[in-house]
Amino acid sequence: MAELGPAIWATIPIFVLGLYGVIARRNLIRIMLALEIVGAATVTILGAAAAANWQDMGEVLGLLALVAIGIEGAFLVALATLMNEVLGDTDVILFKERRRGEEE
Amino acid sequence: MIGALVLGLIAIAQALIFPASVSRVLSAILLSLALFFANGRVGSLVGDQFTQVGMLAVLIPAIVTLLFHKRQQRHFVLLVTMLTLAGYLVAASRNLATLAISLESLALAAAAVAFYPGEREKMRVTATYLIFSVMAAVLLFMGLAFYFAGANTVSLVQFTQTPTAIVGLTFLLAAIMLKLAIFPMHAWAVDVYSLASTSAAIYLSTSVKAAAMLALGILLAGPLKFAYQAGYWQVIIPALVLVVCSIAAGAAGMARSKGVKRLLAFSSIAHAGFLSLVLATPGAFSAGVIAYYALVYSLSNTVAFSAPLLLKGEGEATLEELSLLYKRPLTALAVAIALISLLGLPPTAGFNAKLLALVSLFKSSAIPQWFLLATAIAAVVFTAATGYGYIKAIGYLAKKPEETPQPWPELELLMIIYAFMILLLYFYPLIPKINVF
Amino acid sequence: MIEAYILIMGVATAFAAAVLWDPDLVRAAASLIMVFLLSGFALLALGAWFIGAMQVLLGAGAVAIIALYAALTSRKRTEVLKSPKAGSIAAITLGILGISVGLLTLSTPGTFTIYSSNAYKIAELLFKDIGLTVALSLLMIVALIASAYIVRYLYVRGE
Repeated sequence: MAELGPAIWATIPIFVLGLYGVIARRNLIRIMLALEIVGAATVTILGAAAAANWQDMGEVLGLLALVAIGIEGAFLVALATLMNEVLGDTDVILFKERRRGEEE
Repeated sequence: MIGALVLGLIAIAQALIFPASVSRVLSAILLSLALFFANGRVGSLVGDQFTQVGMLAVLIPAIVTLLFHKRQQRHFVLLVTMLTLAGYLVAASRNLATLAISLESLALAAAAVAFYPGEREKMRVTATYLIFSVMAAVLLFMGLAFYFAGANTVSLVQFTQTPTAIVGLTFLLAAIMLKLAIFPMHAWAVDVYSLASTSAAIYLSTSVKAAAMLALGILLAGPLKFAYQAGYWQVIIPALVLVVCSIAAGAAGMARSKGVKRLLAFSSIAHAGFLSLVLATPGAFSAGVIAYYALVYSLSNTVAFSAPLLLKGEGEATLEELSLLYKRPLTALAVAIALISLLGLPPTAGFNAKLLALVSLFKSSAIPQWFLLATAIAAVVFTAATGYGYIKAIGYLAKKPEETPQPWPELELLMIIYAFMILLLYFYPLIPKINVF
Repeated sequence: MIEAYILIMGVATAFAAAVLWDPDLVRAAASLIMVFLLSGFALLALGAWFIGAMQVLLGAGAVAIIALYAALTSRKRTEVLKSPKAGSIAAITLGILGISVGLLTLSTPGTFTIYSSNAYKIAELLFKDIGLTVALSLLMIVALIASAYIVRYLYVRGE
C-alpha cells in the first residue's frame, strides 16, 4: 500500500494556503509568514519522503530547504524593518501607489 | 574546479579587507583568473566546457559593474563578487540540491544589489525583486521536494518515472521561467531593470539572467531529457506557448519605450523567450545552445547597457540621448553591433544564437510538426517586430547631436573589445559539451 | 503512525489558515510557530526525528521568532485584510492546482515502516559533497552581507 501519497496529500492544503498568501497579501511581514508556511510544507514533504523510502538525502534536503527559505524570510524581515523605519508602513502596494503619486 | 572556488573565496575575503577602490580591481582580476581553473570535478561541481562558457557569460557584465560603478561602496563590491561566485556555482552544479542552493544565494544577493547605491527610491526596486524571488524560491523548493519524493534522488540522471517527479519537474521549470521573466510573470523585470541604477541593472539583467538560463540548460540536459524520452513531452507544450507570448510582450513593450534601459528590459524578456524555444528538444545539444546563447546575450546586453552608463551615469538615458555617441564613432559602432546582435542579424553572433535555438526547436521528434512550425513562425515574426525598437535606437546613433559627451576611455575600450568578441563569435560558433552523471 | 501524522497536519492546516486570516500580525506570527511545531511533531511521528527536531529548533525556534520580532516591531500591528483585485481568480486557480497536484501525487510509491533518522549518514551526505558545502556557505555569507547592506541605509541616510 502506498502511504507516501496520502502523506504528501496532507501537506498540500498548507502549501496552497501559503502560495495564496504570497500572491494575495500586501503586507511584507504577512508575505514572509506565508513564505514560511510553504517552507514548513516543503520540509514536511521531504521528511516524509525520507521516512517512506529510507533515503537520508531527504532529511539533508529538508535541512537545506529550511535554511534557504528561512534566510529568504530573514531578508524580507530586514526589508520590512527598513520600510517600517523609513515609510512607517510595510504595505507593498500602497508603497508603489504613493511613489506613483509623487511622480505625477 | 577547486582552484576556481579558492580564487572566488579569496576574492570575497579581499573585498572584506581592502577599500572599494582597490578591491574592485582585485575582484575583477581574481574572478577572471578563476575561469582558467574551472576544470575537473569537486563533489557535485563539474568544470566542463558548458561550465566554462557559462562562467564567462556570468563574468562579462561583472567586470563592467565592478570596474565602472559610479559611487564606490565596499558592500557593493562584496555583493557583486559573491553574486558572480554564485553564478559560477550555478554553471558548475550538476545536482539539483547544489543548483537550488546556488540559485537561492544568487536571488538573495541580486535583491540586495538592486538597492545600490542605497537610496529611498531603490527600496521599491528591491521590494519588487524580492517578492518575485520569494515566489521563485517557493516554487523551486516545492519542486525539489516533489521531485525528490517521486524520484528518490537529486541526481540529474537517475530519473525515476513517476507522476510525482513530473509534478516536481514542472514546478522547477516554473521557478526558472519566473526567474527568466517569461510571460505572464514578466512585469517585474521591466520595473527592476529600468528603475535600478545602471551599473546594478547591467548586472541584474545580464549576469543573473544568464545564470537562470544556465540553470535551465542543466535541467534540460538532465531530468527534462529523461522525462521527454519517457513520453512526458506534453509538459513542454504550455511552456512553449508562454515563450511565444513573452517574445510578443517584449516586442510590444519595446515599440512603446522611450528610455534605453526600459527598451533593453523588454528586450531581455523577448530574449528569454527566444532562448526557451530550445525547451522543445531537451538534451545535451540544447544545453550547449543555451550556453552559447547566454554568452552572446551577455556580451551584447552588456555593451548595450553600458551606453546609458557612459552617457548618464546611474540614471536613465532617453533614446534621443544615444545620439551623443555620434561624437565617439568607435563606441557608437560597438553599441550598434551590440544592438544588431540583440536583434539577431548577421554578421553578429546573435544571428547564430537565434539560428541554433531554432535548429534545436526543429530537432524535436515527439511534438507535432505543425505545432513546431507555428511556434517558430510566431517567434520569428515577433522577433522581427522587436527590430523596430532596435532600429530606432540605431537610428539615433547616426544623428548628429549638439553637445559632446564626457569621454570615458576605459569603459569605451572594454565596450569595443566586447563588440569585437561578438563579431568573432559569429565566425566561431561554439556548442559546449555538458557532462551529466 | 500515518494516522497520527495526518491528524497533526490537519491541525497545522488550521493554524496555517490563521496565519493568513488573523488580522493581528502578532497572533499570526504566533500561529506560524504552531505550524512549525506541529509539522515537526508530525515528522517525529514518522520516525524522521532529525528533520523533525530541526523543524522545531530552526523553524519554530529561529525563523518564526524572527517573524514574531518583525510583527512586534511593526508600526501597524493590526491589518485590514482587503481581498485583492484578482484574489478570487487566484484562489480558484490555486485550488485547481492543489487538487490536480494532489491527484497526481496520490499514488507516490513508498510505505512507512519503522524508520529512524541516521544522524551519521545525514552528516556524511551534507559534508561529503564539497560543492554543496561551498554553495551553502556562500548562501550564509550572502544572507549576512545582503541584509546588512539593506539595513545599513538607516544609518548612512544623511550622507
